[in-house]
Amino acid sequence: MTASPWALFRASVTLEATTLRGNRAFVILTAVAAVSFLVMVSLFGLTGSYAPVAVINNDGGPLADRLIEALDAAHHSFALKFMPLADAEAALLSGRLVGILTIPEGFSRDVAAGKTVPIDIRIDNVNIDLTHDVQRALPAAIVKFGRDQKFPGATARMVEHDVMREDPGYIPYLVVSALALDAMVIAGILGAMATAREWERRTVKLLRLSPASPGILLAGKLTVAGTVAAVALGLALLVIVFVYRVVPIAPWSTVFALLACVVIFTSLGAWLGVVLKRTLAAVPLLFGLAMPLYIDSGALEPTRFDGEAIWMAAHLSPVYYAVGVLEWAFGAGRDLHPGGRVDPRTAGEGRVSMSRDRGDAL
Amino acid sequence: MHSSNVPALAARYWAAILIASLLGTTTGDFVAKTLKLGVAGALLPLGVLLALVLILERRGSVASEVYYWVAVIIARTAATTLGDFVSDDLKLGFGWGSGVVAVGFALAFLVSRLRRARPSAAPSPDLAGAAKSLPPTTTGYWVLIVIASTLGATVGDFLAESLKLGVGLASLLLGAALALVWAFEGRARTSNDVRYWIAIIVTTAVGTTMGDLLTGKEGLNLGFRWGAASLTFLLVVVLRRMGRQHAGDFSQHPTISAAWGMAVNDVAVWLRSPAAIAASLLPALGMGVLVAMLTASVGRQPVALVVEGQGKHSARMARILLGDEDAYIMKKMSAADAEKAFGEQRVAAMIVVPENFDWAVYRSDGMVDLYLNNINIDIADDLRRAVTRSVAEFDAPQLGLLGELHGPSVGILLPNVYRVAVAEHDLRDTNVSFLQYQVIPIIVLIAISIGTLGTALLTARDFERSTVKMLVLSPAGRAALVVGRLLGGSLLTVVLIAPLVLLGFLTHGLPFCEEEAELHMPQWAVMLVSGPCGWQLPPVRWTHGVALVALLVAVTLMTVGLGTLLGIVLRDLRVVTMTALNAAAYLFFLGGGFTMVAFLPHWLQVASRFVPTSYAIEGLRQALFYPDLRGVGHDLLVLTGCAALSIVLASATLTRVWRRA
Repeated sequence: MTASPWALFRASVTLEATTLRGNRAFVILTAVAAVSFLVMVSLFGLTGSYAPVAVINNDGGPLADRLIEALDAAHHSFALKFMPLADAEAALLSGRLVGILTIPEGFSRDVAAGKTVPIDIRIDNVNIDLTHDVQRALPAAIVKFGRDQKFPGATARMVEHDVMREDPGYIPYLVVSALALDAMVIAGILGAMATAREWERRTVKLLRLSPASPGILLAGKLTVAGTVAAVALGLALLVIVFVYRVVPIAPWSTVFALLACVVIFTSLGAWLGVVLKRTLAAVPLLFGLAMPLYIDSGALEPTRFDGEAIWMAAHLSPVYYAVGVLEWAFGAGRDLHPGGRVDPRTAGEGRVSMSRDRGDAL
Repeated sequence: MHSSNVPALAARYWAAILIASLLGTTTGDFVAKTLKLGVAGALLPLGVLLALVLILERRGSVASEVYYWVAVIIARTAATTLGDFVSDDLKLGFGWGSGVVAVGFALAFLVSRLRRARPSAAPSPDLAGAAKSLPPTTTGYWVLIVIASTLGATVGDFLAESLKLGVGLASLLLGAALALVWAFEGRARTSNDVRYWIAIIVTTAVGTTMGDLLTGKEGLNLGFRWGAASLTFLLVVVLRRMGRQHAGDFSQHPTISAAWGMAVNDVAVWLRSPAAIAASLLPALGMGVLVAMLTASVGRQPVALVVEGQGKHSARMARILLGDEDAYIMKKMSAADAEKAFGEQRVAAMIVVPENFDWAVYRSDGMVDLYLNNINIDIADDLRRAVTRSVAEFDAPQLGLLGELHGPSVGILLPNVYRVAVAEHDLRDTNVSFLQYQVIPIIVLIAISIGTLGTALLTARDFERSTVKMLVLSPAGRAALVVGRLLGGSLLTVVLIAPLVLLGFLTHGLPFCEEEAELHMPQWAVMLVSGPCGWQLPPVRWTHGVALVALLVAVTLMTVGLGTLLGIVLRDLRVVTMTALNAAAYLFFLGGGFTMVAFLPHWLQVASRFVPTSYAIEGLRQALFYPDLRGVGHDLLVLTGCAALSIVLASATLTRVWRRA
């Protein structure tokens, strides 16, 4: 007697579900990993700006205060700290400050008298990225200060036209793309475990000897793995919506994109499990691959900024397309996505053209 | 030499030969630098002295090792002079000098082997199954000792001076190599000439750098008199006090033997398991790739420059913008091309100097348009700052690079329309690149991954495969097995981390890693060969080197203890893997893996104080990048406390569960 395909499928699902119930700790840890990635990219997002700089105000006059206000407003550059010089020096020499800025005594008086006054900045140039940020932010703050005080003599200025009306928040921007990373790791690991386990427990021989169709059995196993992955991703999605307050502008597209990610990555994971035959090998490989693929997916910036070669390479990774769709669905980049196109003629009005082919990502 | 005058090849011998080598380096430097006898003036009396000692030994009636040790010191003194001759007088430098001496040694060694292979040559004591002994101490042996010592001297100087590691760090690295060589020698049950001479070369190399460390200004600065006196005293103490047991023969110490056996077995098991290796290394390597790519992302952004104005002011503004090469990868384009590039997101921004710019400047209303793709606020802010600064330079040249380098910081102040100038003072001479800065957290992440995951997998494996029962039934005491497990995990971590750190320092010796180096090869080849340059670590003083090693050892012990605990508690390889990977990720990020902890919000700064890796990363950055070791003591104390706690807990738990197994 031969079981019907549906009965076989159900039996496979039941068996896989029972096995996963026996591996509850592993499944829970996989879901924890999903939230962990969100936390990690958030931590990274917190680090891109606001260099801690101590201000020693030896003047205390009104113009010194205005300069401090200009520093505070200089493109999210400085986290100004007010502390005694000795504390500031100790903090600078132990890497807790990027710099110490000293406004000299008599600053307000001399500036009001039309003199140019040097402000002293001691920079810990241990990290070139931060050093450059500070070096460039200071003139920006000084220009703002000079313009606010309406000092005469300036002949040129910059006029900015942004593609977005408002700068997208960095963390919301990052966490949306982290969902694609989650999908890859969670669905990939569960898919890999579903297949690799057959070799680990040496049950693959039984499967080979069985008259049942391996396709149906595999479908049953992967359905369970995919469902668990979808639930874990759903958890991550809820965290994004209710904790980070980032709500998708296209909810159904978001759900569809995530489900597509689950299907794709569960299948890829299953293939990896068959190739490696060990969950222990597949898990770190997925973790190891996830990070470079994530960053080459346009998660931090349009991939093409990094050069044509990296952009072309990105097209080989499904994560690239997943990030593109999710960013579009969340509106994190409004209409911008890695394969997108912007119209400079509308820049400054906070609009971008949708004239590009979106098929690249969709 | 009579066999009664030759020391046994045991731990005592290796300790004594290291000290003799240190002493020989000190006397060699004294002969060369203080007495200034020159090569001939030094080698002749030293050769005569050596011959005299050997003749006296042959004719002497009282058996004594003194002859041997005096001869070693004289040979080592001559070797220091010879090393200087090869590298300085022959102008070969330490690198080529080492190569030439190595070839000379290989030839001399071959000749010596061929001579010994003849029937008339004296048989090796090992053939009769005797205990380990030195090669026959014939004239050829002493020639080899001199050449091997010369090679050790040039290699030591090559590491310390040519590779600019400094004598402290070179001593540490060579010390680690020596420990490895001694470990192999100690485990061996029979003598082997090749192994012996490798050990001699490494020992003399350590002697060279450590000798300089003891007597030179870069180290303890003891000078010849105090250095020689203290080393002679130490040599006498070692020779008189240390027993004559064989090196590495632990048969008289069953506990040490069992612990060592367990550790070696753990390392062998781990090395035979590709999945475990992958589990430990791949996530960390992935993070390394991520950081490398991030470096490209956070650096300069592609920007299109469109200059529509035709006058001199437009041209000057364009020059200023194009001159700031640190800020942008700027390409001058036509308006149409720039729009296309901006539209296709090939450039992050488009800067336009408009047609009427010159006319507007005369009216004090010149405008430079910045069309900005502000999808990523971090990049957008970088560009805003950079363009603002470039435009400000137009009216206030000192607000740009000119002011940074030759402005108010050196007392030259030009008036500007914004009435504020910047006097910049950098803490260090050279900037540290973002990638260099991130090398430390990656090293810590690798240490966490290997230490935690490696030990956890080894421990869990014993439970999963029931091999724990065999361990319990073995005659070795539990304490020895526990120590062995922890030692095995530590060895694994150290063996994998040490070459990575070494690579970081050695890249300074690669000529193509220098900034001004131009490679005439395809782009892909340039990327391939210059890849390791990104791992570059700055040379440090020996005190900083010691701090670096101490911090890494503390991290290793802490993670090994943690891994053992995880293995005991979870006992399932898959669960162990997932838990360890999650834990490693949190330890990395909350420890300041991607930034300075000081950049995080206050509540996260407080949270990170409870994450031991934050002390490791902070301490290692301080030791590597800062002039003093401010705060490193505190960091080390916390890490050592955590390491002690995790080791004690792991030991106690492991002992308990093995008792119950």
